Amino acid sequence: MPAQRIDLKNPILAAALAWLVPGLGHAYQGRWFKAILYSACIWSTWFCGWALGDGKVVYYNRDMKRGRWTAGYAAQIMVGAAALPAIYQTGRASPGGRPEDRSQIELKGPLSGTFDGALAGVSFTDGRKAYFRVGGQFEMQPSDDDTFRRSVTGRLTGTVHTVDENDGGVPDGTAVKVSINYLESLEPEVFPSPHRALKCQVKGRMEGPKGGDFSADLRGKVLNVRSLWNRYEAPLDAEGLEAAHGDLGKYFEIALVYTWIAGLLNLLAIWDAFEGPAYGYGDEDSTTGKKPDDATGPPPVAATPVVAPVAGDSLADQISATG
Amino acid sequence: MMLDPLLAANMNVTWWLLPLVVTVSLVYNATRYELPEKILQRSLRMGVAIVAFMGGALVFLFLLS
Repeated sequence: MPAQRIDLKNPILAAALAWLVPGLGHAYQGRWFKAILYSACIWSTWFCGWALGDGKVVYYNRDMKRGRWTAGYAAQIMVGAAALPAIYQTGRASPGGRPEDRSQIELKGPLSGTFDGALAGVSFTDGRKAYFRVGGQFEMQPSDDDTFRRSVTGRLTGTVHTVDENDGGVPDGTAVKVSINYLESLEPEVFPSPHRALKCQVKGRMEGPKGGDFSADLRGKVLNVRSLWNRYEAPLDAEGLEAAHGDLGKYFEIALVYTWIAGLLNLLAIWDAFEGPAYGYGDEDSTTGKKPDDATGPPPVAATPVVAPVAGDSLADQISATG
Repeated sequence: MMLDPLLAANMNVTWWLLPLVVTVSLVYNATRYELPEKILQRSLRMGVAIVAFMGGALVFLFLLS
């Protein structure tokens, strides 16, 4: 180890900095090439995984059953500051140490925005059944009625879009107004998605000659209502994990692997900041003529004078000549 | 922020190996040596070796299937 040739300064501080921000420990030691290299490689791998996983792959879950760290987060936290907010976010998302049950989540304030979802199990008063995609302006707020914990009032004003033959004769683009009857479930406030999903039972009316009064289940998302603070490295609950796998497929796993590898690579970088390079400075070949840096080759051998072979000399003669 | 699903769907997942090969080779060899030329030279060698090994495994599995 060529520690004498590299000023590691305070190795413990350097290692701590290298953990906190990949590349920072080496910058502190003045090893700028490595600082840039580690920083570029580790950050790019980390953010590639983060983006590929739609921001849902970095989270710390106290295991839902046993209250342990998940192994994946143990690798991710090796990138330091970038992964640390996950611990705080888990505390916010599950104050009791367990993820909240969506069916028990209370609406704490007004929720409004553009809605995208579906009206399922539409049942018109004249007996027709239908299913529609629906979009429009949505608003919902806690109700003063405290009979039920999840009492809300709200409405959706928009248009329905037919998706198949199951349209009850209602043409595409028909205007619709619904009011919320009962909120079935609501995605947590702290959750890794900009959109907030909900399910509720509604009553409403569609315009036009084929319209009429109906009851239905409204399922979908209010788009872009969650702040970055409420979604950055927030934990997934069981439903969210299932949905993420469904949305992202195999890319969810690839994204996880990217973030894990970024963390594990930084572990190597932390050790380099603490101890210096493992095999050598890298120029030993030219300065000493030895090969201490070649870990894959045979161990170095003492230099031996070379004797030109002479015709008729035996091997024993050559050995005695060199000895 | 999410990768275009169409782009993602049309990419073979094997290609996602290549950025990892590059970063793993560079970071691993950077922890072994200090000189930039040596790091880059060794990284190139290691990267080629990994790709060759994976390619060989791919061919072997392809023939086996």
